[in-house]
Amino acid sequence: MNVSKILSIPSGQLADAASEIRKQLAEKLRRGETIEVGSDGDVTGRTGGNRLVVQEGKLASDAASEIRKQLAEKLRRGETIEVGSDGDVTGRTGGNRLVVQEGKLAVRQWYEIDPQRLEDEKEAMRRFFPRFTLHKKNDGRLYWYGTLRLNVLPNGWPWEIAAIYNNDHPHPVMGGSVRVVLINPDINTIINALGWTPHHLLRSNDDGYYLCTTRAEDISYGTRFETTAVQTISWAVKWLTALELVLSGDMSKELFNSPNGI
Amino acid sequence: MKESKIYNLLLVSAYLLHISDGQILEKSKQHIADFIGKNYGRETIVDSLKVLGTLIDQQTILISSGREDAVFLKLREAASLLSDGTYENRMGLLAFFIGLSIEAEHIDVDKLHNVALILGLEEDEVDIMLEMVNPHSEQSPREKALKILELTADATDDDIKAAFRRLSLKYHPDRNLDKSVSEQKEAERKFKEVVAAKQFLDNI
Repeated sequence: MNVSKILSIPSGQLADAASEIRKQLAEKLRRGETIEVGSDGDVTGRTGGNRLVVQEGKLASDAASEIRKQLAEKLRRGETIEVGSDGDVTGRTGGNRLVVQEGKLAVRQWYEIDPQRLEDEKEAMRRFFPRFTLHKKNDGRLYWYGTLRLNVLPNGWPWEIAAIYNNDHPHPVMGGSVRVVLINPDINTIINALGWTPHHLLRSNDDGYYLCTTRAEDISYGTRFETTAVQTISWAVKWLTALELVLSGDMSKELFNSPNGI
Repeated sequence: MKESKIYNLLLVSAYLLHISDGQILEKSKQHIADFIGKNYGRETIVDSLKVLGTLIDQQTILISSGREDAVFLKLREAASLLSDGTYENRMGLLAFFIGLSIEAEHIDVDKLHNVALILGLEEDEVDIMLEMVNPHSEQSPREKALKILELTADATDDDIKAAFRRLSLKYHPDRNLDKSVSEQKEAERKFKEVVAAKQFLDNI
């Protein structure tokens, strides 16, 4: 998916005076150049207020970017990754293995502590989303990678997404213990295409923007709510459906961003 | 999207379910949980009900945005995975969906006809099954199904299997090719009733 395809959607939502500016900004982002983001998410320079400068290369540290690179490298090498029943993704057997990102403390991953839960997750994904594949990030976290095609837009595109397990999955946390990030098109491209930042997004230093995939009534601090990759990806389908409705002009920004909108 | 049979089964269920006050009736959930547990394993039930809730939300969003066309497109996509089973299997799914409509206390015949087409069936099959559950009939649905299979109320599971085998062979369209056109049509109707009765007894 390239930026120009997204920005050429023939809908009233995107065909405004700022579209050319957004194109330029999207192209800047694609090239990893510095842009300024307003406190309201505006990147067109039309609004005042505090401005956050997005540094060159900043996007490259996001989970989506890292996963994209990792997948491209695997593809280049013709590799496939199989995760063993004990959570082994290295092909070796025996003993606990921790793959720790340089400069970070060793964290024992949930699938090493509870391999049966991993088996259950794999079986559930095989039943619901059999085309998704399981991979491992450099920091040891597992993620499912796959494509969703929603067909709400007349000439829509497949959404490449990754569902990343927190290392303490299924520990309840606001937003869910499985984070969904958009790989292609990525969320920054979408934000620039829209001209505003959609709600139901959370942001972390490690992963950048990810979808909040739990309902407020399902989870709050102190609850015992648990989620799975299947439930999370299913919610992502709903989120992306609503986003495509916004892009097609069938849903308003206000409704999408309202607490009960989606 | 055509991810898996179970996903598409839930997609069609979401289409049929009648939501009252934003809630799915508990007995509707139980009907789905029983079917999922029996066919896909009990460990799948929790995920299934969560996915079902999301799919209902998704359809609500699409319909409230005036995009019923997208709902029908998704149903058509679901057909590719749900309609590849045997005739008997597809009739079993139809029985499940009719049972779901009954538990939801909302039988939408038009929607059920659409579902039949999705499954590669005809409206006839829906009407035959709905006749079995007609509340204005003197006989109970089970009595009617057993009568079609030429059995009485004390029939065992083995009796039902044996009767189904005998009658489905007797009325199978391939076994009646030498008959007149009207006789072939009558045999086809009987065959549909026999399969519907068996699937009704198995799934509702």
